[in-house]
Amino acid sequence: MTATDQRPAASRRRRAPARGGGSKVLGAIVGLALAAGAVGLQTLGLSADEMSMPLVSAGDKGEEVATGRFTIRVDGVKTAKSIRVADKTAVTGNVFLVVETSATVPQEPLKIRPPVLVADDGRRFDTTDKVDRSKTLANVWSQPGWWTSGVFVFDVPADALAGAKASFVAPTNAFYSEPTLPAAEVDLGIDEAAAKQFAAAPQDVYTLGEKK
Amino acid sequence: MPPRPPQPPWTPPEETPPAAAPPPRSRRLLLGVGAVVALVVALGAPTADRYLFYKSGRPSPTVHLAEPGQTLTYEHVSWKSAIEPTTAPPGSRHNTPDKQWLKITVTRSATDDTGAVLTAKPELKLKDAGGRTWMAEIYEDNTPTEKHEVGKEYSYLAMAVVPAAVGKEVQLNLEPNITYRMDTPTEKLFAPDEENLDKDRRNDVIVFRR
Amino acid sequence: MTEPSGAPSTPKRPVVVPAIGLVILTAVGVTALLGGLDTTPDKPPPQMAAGQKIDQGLYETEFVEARITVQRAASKFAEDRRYLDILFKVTNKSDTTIPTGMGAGSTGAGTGFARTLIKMTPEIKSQWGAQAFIPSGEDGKSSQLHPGVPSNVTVRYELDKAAQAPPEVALSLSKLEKTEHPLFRTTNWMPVEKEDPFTRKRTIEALYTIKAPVKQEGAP
Repeated sequence: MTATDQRPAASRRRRAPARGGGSKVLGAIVGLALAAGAVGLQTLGLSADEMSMPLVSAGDKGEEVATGRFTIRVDGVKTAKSIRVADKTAVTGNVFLVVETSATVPQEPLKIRPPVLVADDGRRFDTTDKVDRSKTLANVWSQPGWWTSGVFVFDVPADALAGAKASFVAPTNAFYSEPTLPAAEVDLGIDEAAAKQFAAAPQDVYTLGEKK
Repeated sequence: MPPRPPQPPWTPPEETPPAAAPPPRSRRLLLGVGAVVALVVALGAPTADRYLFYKSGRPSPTVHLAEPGQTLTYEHVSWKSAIEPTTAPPGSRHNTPDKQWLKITVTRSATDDTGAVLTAKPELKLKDAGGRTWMAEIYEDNTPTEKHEVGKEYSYLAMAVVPAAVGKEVQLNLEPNITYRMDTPTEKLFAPDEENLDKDRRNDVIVFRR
Repeated sequence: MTEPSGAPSTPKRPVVVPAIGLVILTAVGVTALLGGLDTTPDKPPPQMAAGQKIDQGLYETEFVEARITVQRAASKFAEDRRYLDILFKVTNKSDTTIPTGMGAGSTGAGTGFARTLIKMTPEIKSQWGAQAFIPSGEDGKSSQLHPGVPSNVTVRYELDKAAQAPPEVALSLSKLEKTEHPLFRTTNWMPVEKEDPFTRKRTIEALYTIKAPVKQEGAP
């Protein structure tokens, strides 16, 4: 914090026309306070981990959440015990959370990166690898002028449902990391009651790859 | 945050002669400006550094313009293109009247022996006047897998969907690969290529005007 | 060692000093011959039994069993494949999804959970090291350890056609610690290492060992 360091120096110069002992004490107190302030401000500094975090736009289910590079809308959320893709069926001992998503971009086409499910307790779940990625929205170009729809599927324990958010980070070049990547964080709108309902009564089968 | 330069321990100055007048206004102003500059540098320098690093991997494009119907030769290969409207293939997700399907034909021919081995597929995109971009996907590749014959024309066929409103306006943006040589031995494929270092840093785009 | 000051003729002192010196030298020599003070064999890592919970820092792990699995050929032309499977129950204690990984037995070069299995005796060589996965359903598998979700992980070594299935295996597991990068100050989970005091070479420390019989093919 180079800026705050300037101040003690300034107070020193102002002290030159000292009038008496009182102002000297006052000056010392002000100086100490400024120094303490400068030290205190250091704790607000971002750690390296925090510096590499994305720049988040937040929104709710059903809303269009725009970042500079893409716009995301979560159309619906469902739970299922199994996911059928073509002739394969993926199963889980937990629950599959299907996030029906639409996306568009203002300028450059891109493929939406699979989101991360952020549970209320801070746990971060990747989309499940039991469902072929090529059948998700991650495999379709999102282009300007229209919305492209698809799903993302998570395999999560029931206690991760309530209050969960889906965090979509812009795709990037793996070798040249980009400062403050844009991200859209969508609250999936699952309250306690909905979470119970979702966990207790998941669909038997959710079929992917069929246009609805 | 940038590392803070080591600072000498501050020692209180001896009583200066009381004759000193209150600091002139300009000095106070200077002090203020200094503080603002310091703040801007402290916040800006790391951001600028990170931006420059990011940019080093993603240089701004260099545009080469090709007039309508004309052939453009760049880095040992001649390129030509044609765009024509077409209808949506059956069962496509984009078959509404607000969308225009386009069929793109790209023709390439090697101008010399180097061009004959620079056989990588180019990347094709369509761009409107506002800079909005759409992907064009090559569905038919008529180039041989071996060395190209110098002067012989080979073609790629690609499809793209754009909003109907800009169907007549979008221009083909072709990004050629000017470093991949098909005669590179497999074991050298990932070795750093000293000769092409400059070319690797380029981001060339051939824009075919309509 | 105090001596009367007035006895210059007695040769006591010149003997005592070299004698002490000799004793010290011998002691040092013997110590050195025995391998120095620091190189007494390390305490062997604690031996874990099946069903016991192991704290691997990033993971809470339970060894289940080792067994031989045979995958019957799908067609007449393919051949049966035999695997040595090591089964664990693993809970990822971080707050992000981690791959189950591969490269078990390759001393730290692998990824995910698999890289904490640093050694197995007998050694089974393969090009990439053993792969770890979570079986799911009839033929599905996952390679993700989701945070806080106990998962049944299989570490699979393929056996050569001619190879004899080992009757018993010994496994060494490492522990991961959250460490901060000294320069970039980013945090990462790194294996606990130990340093050789003479060569200064750092190696991944085996913090737990497991010895278990291998359930043979056809055994219940």
